[in-house]
Amino acid sequence: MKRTVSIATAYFLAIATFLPTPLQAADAPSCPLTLYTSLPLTTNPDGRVSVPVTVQDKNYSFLVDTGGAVATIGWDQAEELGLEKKRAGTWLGGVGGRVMNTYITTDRFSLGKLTGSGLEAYVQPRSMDGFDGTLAPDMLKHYDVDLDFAHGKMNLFSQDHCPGKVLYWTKGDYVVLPMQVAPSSHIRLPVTVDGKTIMAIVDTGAVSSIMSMHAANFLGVSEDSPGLKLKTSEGYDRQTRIYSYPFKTLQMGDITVKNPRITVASNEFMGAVGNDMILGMGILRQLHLYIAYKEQKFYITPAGAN
Amino acid sequence: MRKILFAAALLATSFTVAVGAGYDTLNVGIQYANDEAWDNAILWLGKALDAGDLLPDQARAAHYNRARAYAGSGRPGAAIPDFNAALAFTPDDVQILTERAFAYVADGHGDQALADLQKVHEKRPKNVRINFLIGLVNWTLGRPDDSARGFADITKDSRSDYAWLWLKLSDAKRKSETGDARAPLSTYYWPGPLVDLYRGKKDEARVLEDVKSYGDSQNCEAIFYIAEWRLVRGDRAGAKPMLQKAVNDCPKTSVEPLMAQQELGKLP
Repeated sequence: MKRTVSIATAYFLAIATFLPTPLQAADAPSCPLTLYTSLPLTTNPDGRVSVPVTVQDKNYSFLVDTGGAVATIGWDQAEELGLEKKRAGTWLGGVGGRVMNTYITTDRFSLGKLTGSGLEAYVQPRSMDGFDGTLAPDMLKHYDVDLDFAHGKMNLFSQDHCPGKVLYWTKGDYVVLPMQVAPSSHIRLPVTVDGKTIMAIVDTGAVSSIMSMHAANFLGVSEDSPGLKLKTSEGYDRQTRIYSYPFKTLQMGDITVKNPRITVASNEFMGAVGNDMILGMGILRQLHLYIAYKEQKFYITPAGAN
Repeated sequence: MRKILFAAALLATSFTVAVGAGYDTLNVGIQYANDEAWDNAILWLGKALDAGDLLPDQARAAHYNRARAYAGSGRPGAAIPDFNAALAFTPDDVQILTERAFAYVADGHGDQALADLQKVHEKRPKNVRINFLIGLVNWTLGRPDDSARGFADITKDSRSDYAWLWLKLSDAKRKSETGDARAPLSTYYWPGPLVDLYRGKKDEARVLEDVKSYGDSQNCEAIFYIAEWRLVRGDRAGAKPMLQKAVNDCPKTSVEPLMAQQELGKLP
C-alpha cells in the first residue's frame, strides 16, 4: 500500500553550477536532450537498483523506486544523521506492511550534479537490506528518467525537449507507450497479458511482477484453474495467498515477453496495494526504459540496444 | 515513428535479448536466486561470470548472489569465496558482511563471523538486527554471559520480543537472571505464544495449537523455540527431533535453521 501523503510536496532539485551536457536524440540531430546528471547503478542481489546520493554530506545508496510515493530513509541512517524525527500528519505504508509515520527534513541533499535543500523523507521503521533510502516519484517526476540497466546508468534529463525526440541511445527499433501519471505520480501503462489488456504500475521498487486475483479473473484465471499453484499463504488465518500461474505472454506495445513471471495475489493483498498489476524488476531489467513524465510517454528498447 | 518488432523471451530457455551474454545470464541467475532455485542460480550466475563482459557492479551482484545460493543450499564453505569476491568490490558493504557472517557460523567459524558483525556494528552501532546477530553468534560460541548482556541491551533500547526470548534462553543457560530487562508488553501478536511459554503461562501443546492461526514461518519458529526451551532445561532427547524439523522445514534464509543446525552439531 503506497499512499501519497501531505508532508512531502513535489521536490525539485536545483542544478548545481555546471554546464548541462547536450545529447542528440539519435534520429533528431537538431533536437538536443539536456543531461542534468548521470548516476551509476548498484545492483542489489534481488535485481533492484540503487544510486549514490549525499544527505548532509554523508554518502548513501538510495533505491530507485518508481512505485513509491515520497523519498524515504532508513532508521539507522536517520539516527546517524542526527536530524529531528517529526511526527507526520498521516502515515505512509509500503508493501510488506511497514508503516511510516515520522519524517526528517534535510538541509543538504544531492543526486549527482543536482542539489537541493529541505527534502522531507519518511523514516523507515526498520533497516532495509542493501540500501539506505528510496528515491520516489515526488522527485523523479520533475525529470525525464532514463534507466539503462545493462550499462549500469540512471540519467536524468531536462523535460524541455522536442516531443518524442529522446532516443539518444539507439537508431534501432523501439516502443513508445502512452502512460498515465496518477495523482500519486505512479506510472500506469496498458499491458496485454494472454491477449487481454489491463493497466499496470511500473514499479522499480518491486522485485517481481504481481497481479491481483481480480485481474486474473478478468483474464480467465480462477482459483480453480488447473495451472494456478498456491505458493504461500500468510497473515492472520492465512488470508493473504500468493499463487504462480503459467501466463504465456505479456505485451507492451510491440514488445512481447514470453512466459512472463507474474505472481497472482489474493485480493486482500492487492487491495492494499491499490492496483491490479505491478510490473516489477524481473521484467523491467530486461529493458532500457526512458520515462518522460511530462510528456507522459514511456519509451522502451531491449536492455542492450544501441 | 518507427514501429518495432522484437521479442524479449524472459526466463525461458530461448533467451534472445540482444545484450552482452553476461548480462542476460545474470538476470536469469538473479531470477532463480529470487525463486530460491539455488542450483540453477549457481549454474546461471557462473555462466554470467564466465562470459567476462559484466560491469564491475554486475560482477559483484553475480558473486553475491552465487554466495547466497551456495549458502541457501547448505554449502556455506563454498559461499565464502564468493562473498570475498563481492566484498573485494565493496569492502564495507553491510549486507554482504552480515551474510558472510552467517556463512561463517554455518561453516563453524564463529570467531570470524563475530569479526564481520563487529565491523558492521562499528558502522551501524544502533542497528538492532546486527546487535541481535552478535548475541546469537556469542550463543553459538558458548558464551551465554556475553549473549545475555547483548540481548539485555537490545531490550532496554527497543521492543524486541525475540531479543527477550533469547535473553531468557541465555539466562537459563547461565543459570542467572538478568534483572533489568524490559519484558514484552503484549503477547497478542506473534511471537506472543512463545513469550507465554517462556513465562510459564502456556505449555508447548497450547503454543502448537495457537500457531495454527498464523503462517508457516511462525510454525517453524514455534518448533525451533520450543526445542531451544527444551535444551536449556536439559531435555536433549526431546529437543533433537524438533531441531531437525526446523533444519528441514524452515526457510533456509532465516536464522532458525542455521541456529538449529548449530545446536544439532553439539548434541551427541
